[in-house]
Amino acid sequence: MGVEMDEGRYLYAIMRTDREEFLGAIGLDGSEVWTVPYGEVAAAIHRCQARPYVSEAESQIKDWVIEHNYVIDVATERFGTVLPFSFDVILRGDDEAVRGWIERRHAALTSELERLSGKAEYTVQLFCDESALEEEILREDEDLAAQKESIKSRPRGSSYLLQRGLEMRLRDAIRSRMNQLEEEIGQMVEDLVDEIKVQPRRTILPDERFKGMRLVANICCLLSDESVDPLGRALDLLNSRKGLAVRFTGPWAPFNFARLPEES
Amino acid sequence: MRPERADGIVDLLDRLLDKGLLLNADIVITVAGIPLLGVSLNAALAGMETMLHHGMLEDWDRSTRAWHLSQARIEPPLQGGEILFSGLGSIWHGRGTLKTWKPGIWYVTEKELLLWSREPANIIFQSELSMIRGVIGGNEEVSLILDGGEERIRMDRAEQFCQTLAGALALPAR
Repeated sequence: MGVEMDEGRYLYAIMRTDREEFLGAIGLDGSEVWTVPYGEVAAAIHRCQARPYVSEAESQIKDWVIEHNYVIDVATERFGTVLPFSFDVILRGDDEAVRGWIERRHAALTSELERLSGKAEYTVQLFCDESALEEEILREDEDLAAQKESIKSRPRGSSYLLQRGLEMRLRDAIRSRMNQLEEEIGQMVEDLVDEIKVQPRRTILPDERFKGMRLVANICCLLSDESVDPLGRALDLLNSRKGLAVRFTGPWAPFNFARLPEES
Repeated sequence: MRPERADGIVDLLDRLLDKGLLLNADIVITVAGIPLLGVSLNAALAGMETMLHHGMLEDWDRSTRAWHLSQARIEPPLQGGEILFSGLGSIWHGRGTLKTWKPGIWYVTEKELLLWSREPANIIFQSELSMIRGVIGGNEEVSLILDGGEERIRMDRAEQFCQTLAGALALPAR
């Protein structure tokens, strides 16, 4: 009994096709990836044991993640928008178990594929240069600017507390300016896209271009192909403002927007 | 501007480790027993306790709860007696090639001290109370004095842990 009980199917994505097809040896560790259809809906899978892929090595997990995403890219190219699975999701059982899983949610998967058809996920991130914001605030807030000037003219020791007070007021002003910017770009994106998800502000910077800058807004959005250019033009306006930089990435499979019906 | 498909892996990790479809019913398990998140792979690998400790999971309560649930579902093999304390934590594993904090759930009962991990299900640390000579609380971690030596451990609510354990041992907490 051991062997059959241990059989599993690693899931990459759900797509629209009624054919069983070999997509290539492109899966995790070069596994063979197949589509397993039920009706007009199929899952891209590879055959494996019903055990999660686990590693303590960071580079191994990165490799798997890249391979997983590559399968999703290939499937998207071939079949249009897919519903992507998270990393390391394994269904216990054989191809029949996959078919059964699809069969039980066939209507929901079909309508979800329909809803997301012709759309993809994009990320818009707004970065700001804090010192540029500070300059801008000092230009606009005469009171703060005057305070800063008066501190300069005092002897060093006596100005310490004033200096701290000024720093705190400035920091508050910068924070509220960043919140304003997040709201502004959120509003702008929301007007142009089908769906939006505001993500937490992470401290990790994606690449060198934004070194030394703060992430002000991190927004995921679902876009129809024809909305990409209008959003790009709107982002140009923000990107050209002093002290601001926009990072616009995509298209991605709809990781943030694909939904399954609630399972009982 | 045109969207770009960044070659950086950060965007990928963010999506594949924390987003995308999951299964509930037929699922085996996901993601290595700890929720590997896009926050930082280093942090994810360092283990749950470290992430909780550094407050990295504030935005991730869904994953945290899921992990917590998955950790709590299987009963630990306790020898009986009332459970006086339980909470997420870890123990320093400094022997061998892999030096790391091993995460799990600490249990203090009337009979024993146990660090239990559900996935993979195993006992990471177990000691009869009679083998424990003392417990020293610190800010970051707790020192456990045993007959055979000392263990470095961590947990949520370390102060409560120390008081409970010291009480159970009938020792004054230091």
